[in-house]
Amino acid sequence: MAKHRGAGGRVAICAVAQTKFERDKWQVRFQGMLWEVVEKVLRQTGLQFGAGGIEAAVTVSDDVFDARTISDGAITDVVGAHHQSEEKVAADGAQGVYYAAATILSNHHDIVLLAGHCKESQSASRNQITHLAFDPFYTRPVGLDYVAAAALQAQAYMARTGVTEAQLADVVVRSRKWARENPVAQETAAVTREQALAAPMLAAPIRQSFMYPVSDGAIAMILASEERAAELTDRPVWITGLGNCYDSFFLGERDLAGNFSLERAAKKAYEMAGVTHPTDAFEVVEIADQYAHQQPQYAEGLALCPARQGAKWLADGGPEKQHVNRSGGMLAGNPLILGGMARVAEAVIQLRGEAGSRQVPGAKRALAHGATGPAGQLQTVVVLEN
Amino acid sequence: MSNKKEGGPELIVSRQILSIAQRFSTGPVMGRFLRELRDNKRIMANKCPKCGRHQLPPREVCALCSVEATEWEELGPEGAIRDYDIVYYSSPDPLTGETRETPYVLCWAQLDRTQGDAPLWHLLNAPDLSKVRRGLRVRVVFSEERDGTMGDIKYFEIIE
Repeated sequence: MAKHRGAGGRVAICAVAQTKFERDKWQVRFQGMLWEVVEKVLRQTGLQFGAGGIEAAVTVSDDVFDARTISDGAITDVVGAHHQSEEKVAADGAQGVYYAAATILSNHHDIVLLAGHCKESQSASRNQITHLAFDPFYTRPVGLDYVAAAALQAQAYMARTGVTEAQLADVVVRSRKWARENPVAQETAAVTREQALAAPMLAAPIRQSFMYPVSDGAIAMILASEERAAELTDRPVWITGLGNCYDSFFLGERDLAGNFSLERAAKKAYEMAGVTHPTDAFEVVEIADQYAHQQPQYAEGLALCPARQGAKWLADGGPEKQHVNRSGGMLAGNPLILGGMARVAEAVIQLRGEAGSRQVPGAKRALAHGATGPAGQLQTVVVLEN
Repeated sequence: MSNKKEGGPELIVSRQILSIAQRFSTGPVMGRFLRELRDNKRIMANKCPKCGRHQLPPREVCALCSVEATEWEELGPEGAIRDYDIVYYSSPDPLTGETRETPYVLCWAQLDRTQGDAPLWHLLNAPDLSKVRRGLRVRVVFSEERDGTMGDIKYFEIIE
């Protein structure tokens, strides 16, 4: 049991490891994929499982992608939870960061292993999986899945803001350019605006190139209380702001062109971190852009530019100026459930100064975003500082 | 389909079958276990280099020591029943939809040379249910046609 630290305690991310993200890791089970990164964070910190070491794990996985109920039961061997505590977050891994931090802030544990995995390649169709996220009576029979939901969001957003297809293509072009500087990124082949615009249409206006690719991978992190962080690393990255918010389950009840839940999630995180002017508060910004239109849309929701000004933000080079998604972002490939967790991982790497050719020099504060559910129903915002 | 309680409104119930095509990697560890069943009719377990415990089914990491279990040893094919259960309801095979004849016997058998708790789980061929008991000596019987699945083991047979 952790020592009581009361309100105002801080939580550090002390280690991060990611697999390379790939379209089909057919050589390994998801357990083997996860062990690769768990072993790395154990080595980075010198920690072992058990009393005085890692006493708790928070895991991130999706039962339907894993094709088994309570699928975290299948990974207890790998995350040290055989005969120990483990809790699963069945939402984007940024929520796992939230949960692990809360575990420490609430004095339950001093050190938590956070481990997420997904093999999207395991299913013949991701759309069959995300179709099951909808209710069986009202929306499933009409054929909704996450792509169709995102297309409705894109239609609404582009109609309101005037963001064009060509601008979305440029978002993809830029994602690929930066992905080439990120050793774990999946989609690194250069693409031109014309090529992106010629990709097959999935659900108008979303083309294949505008959607994150089928992706397999795993991420692990070690989170620790301020008292223990110094033992584990000389470069802790502090979580200084956290916020999340759900929007309605039913798409028709939402303003799909807007950012109801993201604005509220960001407000909570910014207040906690003392961020008053988000446009210039961050040297590093990582947005979980599952689809290209979500990069400007969520930039609005995160108050990186004024509401409804996403088209101007893109035209003025906002993503480049504000160092958005130098990892390549989610368009470069992460499994759906790890999109936000990979954004946090990149923020940590940048704040530790370990980002190599994509490093933002002197980065002090980073913003990481994750989204869960159809058209970003649940939004999660994390502010990190070194 | 509808349900109507007498005097009440009709309460509609929707019947659906969820079907998702999947393909599971077995990886180098579980994959070797299945390959050995198929090609060599051998029960291979991996062994923790730290605690010496076998893992069956073999997994990447020793669940107790959190180190890679890289050594391999053949277990059985004879062993002793640890626990068993007699099943009286028909349980359909999810892939074929075929049901087994009931009653049938499921059992854990600790194979000879196993270190630690790592029994093999399979059906027991037991024409006479009154003979089934804990500690009964059994032997693994392999299927004629094998395809790298647990069906490569036909069942345990009782050693008379």
